[in-house]
Amino acid sequence: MMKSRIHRRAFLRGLGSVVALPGLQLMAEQKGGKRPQRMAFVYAPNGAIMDRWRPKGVGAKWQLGESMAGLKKLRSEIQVITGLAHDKAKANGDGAGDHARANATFLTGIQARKTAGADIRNGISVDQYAAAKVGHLTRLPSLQLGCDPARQAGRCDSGYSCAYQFNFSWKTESLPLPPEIDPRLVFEQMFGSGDRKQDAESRARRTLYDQSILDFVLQDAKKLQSQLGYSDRQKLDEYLTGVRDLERKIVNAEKFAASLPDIDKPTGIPAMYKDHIRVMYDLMVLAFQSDTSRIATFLVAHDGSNRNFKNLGVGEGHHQLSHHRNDAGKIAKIAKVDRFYLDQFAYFLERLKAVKEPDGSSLLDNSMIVYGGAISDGNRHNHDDLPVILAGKGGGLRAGRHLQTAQAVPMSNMYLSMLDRVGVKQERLGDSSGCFDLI
Amino acid sequence: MKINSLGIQLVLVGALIVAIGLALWRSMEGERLSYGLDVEPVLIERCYDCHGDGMDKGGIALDEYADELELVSDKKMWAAVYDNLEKHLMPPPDKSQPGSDERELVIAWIESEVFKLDAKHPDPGKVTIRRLNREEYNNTMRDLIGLDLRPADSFPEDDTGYGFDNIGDVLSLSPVLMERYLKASGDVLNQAIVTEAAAPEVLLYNENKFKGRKGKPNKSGDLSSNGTVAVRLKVADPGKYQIAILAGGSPAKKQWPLMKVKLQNGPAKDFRVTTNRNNPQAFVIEAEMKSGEHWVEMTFSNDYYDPKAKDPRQRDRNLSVLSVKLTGPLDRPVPAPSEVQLKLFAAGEGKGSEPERAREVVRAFARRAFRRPVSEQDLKGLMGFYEMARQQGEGFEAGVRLVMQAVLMSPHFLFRGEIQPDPDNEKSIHEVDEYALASRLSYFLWSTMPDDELLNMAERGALRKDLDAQLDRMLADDKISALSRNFAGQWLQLRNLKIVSPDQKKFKQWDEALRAAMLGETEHFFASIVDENRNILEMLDTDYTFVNERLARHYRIPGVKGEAFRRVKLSEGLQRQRGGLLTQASILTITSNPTRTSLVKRGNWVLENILGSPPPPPPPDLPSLEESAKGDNKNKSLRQQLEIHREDTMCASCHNRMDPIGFGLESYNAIGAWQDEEGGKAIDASGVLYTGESFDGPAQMRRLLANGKKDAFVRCLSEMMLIYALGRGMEYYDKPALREIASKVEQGEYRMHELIKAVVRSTPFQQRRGDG
Repeated sequence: MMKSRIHRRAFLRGLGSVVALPGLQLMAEQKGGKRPQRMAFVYAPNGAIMDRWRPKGVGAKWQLGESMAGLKKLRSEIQVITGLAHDKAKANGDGAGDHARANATFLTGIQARKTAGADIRNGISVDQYAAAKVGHLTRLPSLQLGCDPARQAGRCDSGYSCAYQFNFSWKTESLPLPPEIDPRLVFEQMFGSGDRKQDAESRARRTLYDQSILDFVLQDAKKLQSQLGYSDRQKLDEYLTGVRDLERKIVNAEKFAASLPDIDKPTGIPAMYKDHIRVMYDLMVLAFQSDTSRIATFLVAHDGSNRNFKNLGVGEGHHQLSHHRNDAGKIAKIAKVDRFYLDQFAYFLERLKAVKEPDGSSLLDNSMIVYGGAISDGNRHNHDDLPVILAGKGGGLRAGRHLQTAQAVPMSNMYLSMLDRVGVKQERLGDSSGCFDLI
Repeated sequence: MKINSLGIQLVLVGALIVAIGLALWRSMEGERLSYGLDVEPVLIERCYDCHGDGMDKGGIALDEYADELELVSDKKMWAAVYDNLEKHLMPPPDKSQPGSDERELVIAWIESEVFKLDAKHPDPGKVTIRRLNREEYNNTMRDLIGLDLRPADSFPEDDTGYGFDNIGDVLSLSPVLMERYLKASGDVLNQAIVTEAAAPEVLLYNENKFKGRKGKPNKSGDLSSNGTVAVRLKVADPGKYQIAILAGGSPAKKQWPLMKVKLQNGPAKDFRVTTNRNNPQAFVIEAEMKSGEHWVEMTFSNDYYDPKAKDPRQRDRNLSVLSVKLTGPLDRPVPAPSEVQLKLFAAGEGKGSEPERAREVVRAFARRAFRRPVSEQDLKGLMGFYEMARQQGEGFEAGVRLVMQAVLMSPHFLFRGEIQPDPDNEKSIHEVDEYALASRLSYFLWSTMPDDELLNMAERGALRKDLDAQLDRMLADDKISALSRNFAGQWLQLRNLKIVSPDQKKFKQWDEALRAAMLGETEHFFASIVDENRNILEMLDTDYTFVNERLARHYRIPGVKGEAFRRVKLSEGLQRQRGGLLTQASILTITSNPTRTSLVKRGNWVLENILGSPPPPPPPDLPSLEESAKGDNKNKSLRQQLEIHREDTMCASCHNRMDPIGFGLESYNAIGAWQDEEGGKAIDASGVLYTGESFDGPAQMRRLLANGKKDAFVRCLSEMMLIYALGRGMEYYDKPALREIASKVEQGEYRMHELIKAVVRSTPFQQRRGDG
């Protein structure tokens, strides 16, 4: 009794204990003893101070960069990869807007179409390629999380619609999946709102009603679609996709009947940024552990984020600072922010490592976690030599080393290799030129 | 007769002027303008210095095209020419300026020959089907159901395009949102239409609430000798209650403990507790209870202890009470229908049988929800849900409620579609029908569904005929406040106030009350211009503003008490500091960095949102001008650094436009407080506008803008409002409509209502065409 109470508090405050989930462990069992493989993609904004990020030494003999001090205990669980590039985040004739582009390109490898509104076009993101193939194995095909408190009003970066800058998971070329920032809503998305304990009969009736409504509006929408012009029909396709996804989710909810884990629902967005980030990481661990989903993306902050970090003694906005003009004071402050974000990431990895699967391996052993961004130096806005960490040994990833690529390798190549490891055979992804099998 | 060369030139220029006048007149008569005869001479005279005769500044050379056809086909280039002429950005101020006839001539030629606009058959464009955004969903549910629950606050945030969150092309519908729709519609309807008694309350009393007999202090629930545990139950509503006592114990001499449960002024019952403390069981009594406090006592009466008994498990008879749970009332009646519920069902009154009544209720509801009448066939489909619910054993109201949920999930509710006869034919241009017009009006002005009067007018086909009267009615309605919140909030980017985080170490006065007060000022200011139909130029320069106590302190305006906002007339001394949007702390704060002001952000904000001539974004891979100073220049002031870097022509063309405005606003710090000096140095808030006018301080600058730049401001505001009203970006074919709106505003003495009415009367608002 006492024990689980401690865990509840830990979850809410994001303090780092492992959440006990009786009854959920078994759900992740798979035939043949193969553990499910998870994937997560975490975005860190505005580049990094690469001098302090970059490890010393290459290969197995290496030391963590200064900013990664928090990952010390996880040295053997990660590989730091330097030299990857996102060519499509460059202007390539589209002028300014490096932050919006970096954000849009990071998981897609596509040159986002420059538009303030009409004809939004990006690519399908790596997580969604995976979700399309393996998403049906879990209750939720994928999860999108974020921590940006509110979106910017008005225009975003230099003529790019805000859709590019505040989303980074794209289900189709024109449909971004918005990150959810409220832990309570994420929890409800995963386990239902569970507000009232309904008896089986009324639950079955509710399911019948929901399915009938969805079926009805699906027909309704198709009829409406036949009366509309081309672009309206395109728009209504999103509606149809949404209805079908929800239908599938309702069926899956029956199939993967989930008991609400014995933890209190998070109550809302924590006041402290650090707690907010951590509770989101907690939810990702929970999703993986309970096999609610195997794929997650987490936009810790959008590229161009101008948040300041009073607790770190950084009063200036992060983006404002990132144009550091090689000023030592500013560089030191940005490095503090880099370190802050990496410390939270270390928390996530430690949590994953602490959760043991039935075969004795850890969740982290069965995960592939990408951490990084599509800008290298915030001052120069260059999109090569990107700061990237690949954590976990899922899919047979190697770990415990600093992998330096000989020349600029498209980030998309790495994604292709990751997809391959979860059994998703994809010919191309964005600007990929092949696989990056060194990982 | 001998004419000197100057004379020849004069004659030639004179001839050009006459020719232009004639050409313009001819074009107004419907005659086509000729490039070679009418347009090229103007370009040679005014543009070729930089963009012809071997010059190609900015990569533009007007005489390097193979032939006229190729020249005319370069729409992108001519669109830039058009913009630069219209906004007086070209020719640059230091070159000789064309007369307004010349500008108009080239603009008219571009419209007719490059854009191929046909003045008699203007292209209204098309609007992509729009899903309700969060604000619209909240308001529509409020007006449709009658409960203001703001369910969309938990929806994912809407993406913005062209600066607004109501752009059809950008509003996407993710699967997560679909799930939220299902939940929101169910939740709201369950609150509006109540068909079941409220679930009973459950109160749990643990050991820390336990007392002894008659409330004697502090007793453990573990009774090792005869005794009583008592709990004071609190009953709010009278009725039938269940009291469940969780207890366990240990036996001795083959007997388990006895527990007598006695409710004060109520029944008593004896129980034999037959499981141990680790496996407790619930013992239940039921009773009618009145409101108030009631003791319940659990008494242990057969204690036994024999330490010598053979079986160690039969030595000590004890009782443990673990908790007491009170559940009830169990017999709550179904509450009488609320007014909200009665109103939703009003259409069915006196309509015969239950199915007939249900049908009329649904017909009325769906018409309002879909914002147009529902066909018999669609009605029939919807009624299937009513039948299904009844077959499942549900009552009349629950049946109707299910149909209503289907309505709220329908694309006809969630999207604002405009059904048209020939949707894929871009040549098919027509007026939007009366229902679509009603929706366009109500979502533009009120951010919500059309009210009954608009719908009824549309049904009678009388809305378009009576537009002016309806507009006056709408402008006088309280719901017009949505225009301030949603239009002004986005046009002026006020919503960013939520996300700015000024450095509190540096700005000690910064707090949440100030943040809220800043927003309050600008919203009240804009709302008063709408409500009182004031002159829109007051937004640039005026002698009043709105403050509450917190903001008055920030502005050093004496004598304002309390949180409420009020209009204050600014004293002469304060007029130097405040008056108009550009002096409001909200705008000055959102255009600053957390630790300091940003000349560039402020200048850019004014160009973009007030003057409508945003500079092109800086070339990629270049650090912004403000950040690039190095070496010797590092110790110079920002002003000096910027002046040095403006000497670089590549940077100059934009920064010459942005920076002076930013300098003019340097008298305000990063949270909009007035400052005469910073770091011991007097503030220098002087500057020279791109077009040559010089000023010293923000008061002079805003006067310059209000007088000299009013055309640009009107054009900019019209464009912003039309984007918002239509839910799409502006295209080249909207130019004539925008010009028309601007001229009506001028004729209407710059009154706000004239602007709103002109937007509503414009071709793109009134008409649409098929997809191309």
